[in-house]
Amino acid sequence: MIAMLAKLLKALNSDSAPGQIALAFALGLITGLTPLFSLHNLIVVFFACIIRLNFSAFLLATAFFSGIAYLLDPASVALGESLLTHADYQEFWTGLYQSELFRVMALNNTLILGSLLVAIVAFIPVLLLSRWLVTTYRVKFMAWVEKLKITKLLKASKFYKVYQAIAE
Amino acid sequence: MKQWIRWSGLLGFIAITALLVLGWMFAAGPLIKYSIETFGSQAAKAKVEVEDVSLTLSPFGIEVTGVQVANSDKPMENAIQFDRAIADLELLPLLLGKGIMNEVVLTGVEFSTPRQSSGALVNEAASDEDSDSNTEKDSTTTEKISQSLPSADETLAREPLLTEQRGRKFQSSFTEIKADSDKAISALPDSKDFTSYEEEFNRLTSGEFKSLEDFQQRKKEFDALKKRIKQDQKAISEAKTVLSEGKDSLTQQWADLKAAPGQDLNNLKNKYSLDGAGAANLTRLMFGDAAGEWSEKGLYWYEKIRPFLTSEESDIDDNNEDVTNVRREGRFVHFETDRPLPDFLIRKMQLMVKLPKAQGQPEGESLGNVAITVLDITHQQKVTNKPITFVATGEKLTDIQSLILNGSLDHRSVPGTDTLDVSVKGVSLKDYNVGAMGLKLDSSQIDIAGKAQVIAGEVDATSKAQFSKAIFSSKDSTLVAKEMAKALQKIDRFDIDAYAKGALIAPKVDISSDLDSKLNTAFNQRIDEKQDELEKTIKEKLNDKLLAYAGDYQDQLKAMDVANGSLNDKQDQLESLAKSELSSFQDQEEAKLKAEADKKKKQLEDDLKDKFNKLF
Repeated sequence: MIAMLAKLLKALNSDSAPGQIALAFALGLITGLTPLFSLHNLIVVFFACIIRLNFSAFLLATAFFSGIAYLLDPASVALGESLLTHADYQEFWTGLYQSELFRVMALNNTLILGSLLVAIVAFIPVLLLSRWLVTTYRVKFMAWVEKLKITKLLKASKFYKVYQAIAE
Repeated sequence: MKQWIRWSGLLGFIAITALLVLGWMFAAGPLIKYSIETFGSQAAKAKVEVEDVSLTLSPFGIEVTGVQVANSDKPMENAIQFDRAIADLELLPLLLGKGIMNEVVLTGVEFSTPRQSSGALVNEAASDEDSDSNTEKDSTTTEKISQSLPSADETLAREPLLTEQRGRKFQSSFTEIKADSDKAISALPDSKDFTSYEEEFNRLTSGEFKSLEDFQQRKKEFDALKKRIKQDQKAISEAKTVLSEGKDSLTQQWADLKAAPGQDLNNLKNKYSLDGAGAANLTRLMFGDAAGEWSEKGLYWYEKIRPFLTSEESDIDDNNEDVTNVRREGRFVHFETDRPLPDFLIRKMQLMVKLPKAQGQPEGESLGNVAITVLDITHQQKVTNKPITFVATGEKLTDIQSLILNGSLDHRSVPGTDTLDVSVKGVSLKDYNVGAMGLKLDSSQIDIAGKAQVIAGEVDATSKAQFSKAIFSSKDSTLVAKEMAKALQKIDRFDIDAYAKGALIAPKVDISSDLDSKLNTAFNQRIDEKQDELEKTIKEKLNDKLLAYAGDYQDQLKAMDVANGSLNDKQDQLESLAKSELSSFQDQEEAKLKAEADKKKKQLEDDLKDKFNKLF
C-alpha cells in the first residue's frame, strides 16, 4: 500500500500526463463502485492494462471507490430495481435480455445495473475533476507542499525511502 | 497515440488470462468430479462414484465416464449407472457460473445393477441399520399378511366364544339345580313309607269298632296319619316345583348352549370375511404385486427428483424474507426470452434404457430398449418458463408393439403439477403365474393406457389394461383349480382398471376388473368350499366344547323327568289311598248306623205287628 501511494505521488510529481492519472481514477471509479467480479470489470481491467495510465492510481481508485460503494449500494440497488421493474421499460429490457451478452454481464442484476449506471454517469465528471486536480496540484500546490514541515518529516521517513527507490 | 498504448500491459493481460484459463481447464475436471460425487451423494443419500471427468474444447463440453449411483435402500445395488455422458457446455454463461448444456447424451444406462462394494454413506450406516430392521419388520408384516386364513384352532383360541361362556353358565346352573333337586327329593316318602301308610290304613279301617273309645282312638291315629300324608304331599309338591323350575331353566340354557356354536360360527365368519366378497379379487391377486413393484420403483425415482423441482418453490418465500439481507448483492430480474439462463439447465438429455427380461425369457435377453428424451431439465423453471418434459419410446421391442410415455414436471407455479401419460400396445404376455391354484395365464395380448397427475403431493392416477386372446390353464389338480381353469377358458377378453388417489406416499389404491365379476361364481365356489371346510372343523370343535360342558346332563334331565313323573304317581297314590280308606271308614259307620236303624225299625215293625194282631 505504501509502495502504491509512493508510486501515485511519483506520478503526481512527475511529468506524467494528467489525463493518464485522471483516466486511471475514472476507470477505478467503475471497478470500485460496481461488484468487482463482473464481466464489464474484466473489460475495464483490460483497458487499464493496455492504456498507458497510472496503474497504481487505478488500483488505489478501485480500493477508494469500493469503500464509497458500501454507502452507495442501497441507492444503486434502488436505481437498478426501479429501472428494471419500471412498466414503461419492460419492452426495452426484454429486448436487451434476448442478448446473451447482456445476461452474461448480469445487467439484469439490480446492483450491477444501478452501480454501473452511477459509475458511467460519474465517469466523465470524475475524469475531468481528477485531471483538473492533478494539474492544479502540480501548478499551485506541489512547490508549496514541498516546503511544508510535514513533507520534510515525511522525507526523513521510511515512506520517503520507498518513494525515492521507486523514483530512481 | 503510441504513448497511450502499453503493449507490455496487453501481453501481461493475455498471459495472465491464459494462465487462468489453463489452470481452470486442468482443475475443472477434478473439481467437477468432486462436486458430482459430494453433492450427488448428498442428494441420492448413497454413494455417487465417477470414474473420470474431462473437458473438451471443440465443441466446448464435458465428458463424464463410469458413473454409479448407489441405491440408498439397497447399498449393494446401483440405482442407476451409465458408462458415458457427453455434454456440450455454453461458454459465456459458464463465466457467470451458470451450467447451460444444450445436449447431454448418456450411453450404457442400466438400472438396478449389482455393486462390488457397499454404496451406503458412512454417516448413513447407522440409519441404514435402522432401515434394515424396518425392512425386516415390513417383510415380516407382509409375510404375516400373505399368510393364509387362520386355522380353526387359532381362530377358536383367539376369540371369546359364546359356546364357552354359556357352557360355563349351564354347568354352574346345573350344579345348583341338582343340589336343590336332591334336597327336595330326599324329603319325599319312599316305598317303605307307602307300605307303612297302607298297613296303617288297613289296620285302622278293618274290623268293627269295639267301642266308642276304640273308634275315637282309631280316629285319632287316622288323623295323625292324614297329617303325615299331607306333609308328604306338600313335600312332593315342593319337589315338583323345584324340579319343574330347574328343568325349565336348564332347558332354556341348554337351548341357548346348543345355539351358541352356530352364533359363534356366524360371528367368526363375519369377522374373518370368509365369504366370497372378502377374497374373490382375482385381479389384485394376479397383478397387484406387479403393479405394486412398478409403483414402488416409480415412486423411488420421483421422490429423488422432487426435492430439486420444489427448490424453486421454496426460493419464492426465501426471496421475500431475505430482501433486506441481499440488498448488497441486488437481485436478478428475469424477462421473457427464448434462451433463458438459469443456474443449471440441460436443454435436451437423451438416454437409452434396456428393459428387463420378461418372465420366461432366457438370461441376457430383454424386452427391448426405451429411448428417453428429457427436455429443459432445471430446478429454476420460473427462469426458463418451461416445464421439464420427457418422452420415452420403445425401440427394438420384443413382445411389445409400441411403448410411449409422455410426461411433464411443471413447477413454474405453486403448487407444481406433474403428469404422466402411458400407452403400451400389443404386449404379448406369456406364462404369467397368477399366483394361486396353480393358475397360469398362458398367453394374452394387452393394451395399456394410463394417466397420472401429482399436485401438491396428492396423486390421482387411472389406468386401463385391456386383455384379449387370453388363455388360462392350471396345473393344480384340486377341484377348485380345475373349475376355475374351466371358467377362465370361457373368458377371451377382460379389462383391468386400476385407480390410485390420495397422498402420494399412501394413496388409496383400487384394482377392479370385469374378470372378477365373470369369475365371481367360480371363485365363490372355491371360497365356499374353503369356508365349508373351516366351518366344519369349527363346528366339530365347538360341538366338542359343547359336549364337554353338557356331559351326561341330557340323561340327567331325563332322569329328572322320570323323577317328576314318579312324584306325580306317588302324589296320586297317596291321595287315592287317603280318600279310599277314609270313605270305607265312613261307610262302615253309616252301615252300622243303618243296621242299627234297620234293627230298630224292624223291632218297631214287629212290635206294631204284634199290637195289630192283638187288636184283631
